[in-house]
Amino acid sequence: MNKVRKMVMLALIISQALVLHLIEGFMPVVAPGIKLGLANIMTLVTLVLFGFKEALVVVIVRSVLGSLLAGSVTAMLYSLAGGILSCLVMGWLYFRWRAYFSMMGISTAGAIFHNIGQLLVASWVFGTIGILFTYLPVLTVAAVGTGFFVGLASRYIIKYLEEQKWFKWERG
Amino acid sequence: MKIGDLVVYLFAAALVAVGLMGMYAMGTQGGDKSVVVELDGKEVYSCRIYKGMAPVEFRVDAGNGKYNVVSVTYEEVKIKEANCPDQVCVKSGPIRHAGQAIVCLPHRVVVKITAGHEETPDVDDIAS
Repeated sequence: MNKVRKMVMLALIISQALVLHLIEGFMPVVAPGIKLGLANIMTLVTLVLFGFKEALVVVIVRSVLGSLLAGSVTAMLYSLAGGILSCLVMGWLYFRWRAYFSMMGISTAGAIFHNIGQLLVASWVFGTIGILFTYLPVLTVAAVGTGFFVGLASRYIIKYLEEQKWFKWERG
Repeated sequence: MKIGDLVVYLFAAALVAVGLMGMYAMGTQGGDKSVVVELDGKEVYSCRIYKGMAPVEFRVDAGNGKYNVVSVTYEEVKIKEANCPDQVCVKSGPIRHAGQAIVCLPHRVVVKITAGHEETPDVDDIAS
């Protein structure tokens, strides 16, 4: 894939991640901090189809733009911390231990570390480690559920894209 | 399911256990509890929770017209009302045990229950 085509593909992916990020903002809140993590689908797809560096770019650009469009500076901090940590963990698992993990496992680990990253920033901002303990159990249970379906969705998207003739041709 | 997924789920279970244990450990220090309200990381209000206390309700002013109404009774502490955009603090419901906290991110307000009660020294403390 040449440079320009790759940039266009990444731009498309980022805009899709951004839309998912914003749609998620409209969802009713079940409990504090619990989100579906739909934007993580695009991170995983980029990770598998393009690579680690590209996935990190998608996460950072999505977090910054998403927080600018709907959110605040603190929201950006949480989003970035969670996103980067989860991207690092997913990249490590995928490129190092791929044989032992399914997409769902990698996505669940990503979701869990997304929460850990956000909680670490929250306890830093508020200066109490108590927040970490209070929210960790409920958020982790939620992450197992949402992570599974996010993994499933990204598996189907990756499978679909890899079967497409134009995409195969793009990748060369 | 592959073996790595199992590791992830075990890790998740361990995290839940650690979180619950941390909450429990913080909840069992001493019998007395108090409510502490922090704004921007600084303590702005605290009061002791004891049996037979009269219910308290107060308003935390976070500046620029932002406010949270906190209600404290012996049984539970909750944010009754707030004008933050996400209403997460109101929806997260009441807290009861030491170590628990309600967080309002947009207003940077934390309402937490702590074990024990340190400040407001009694008269006999002056000698030291």
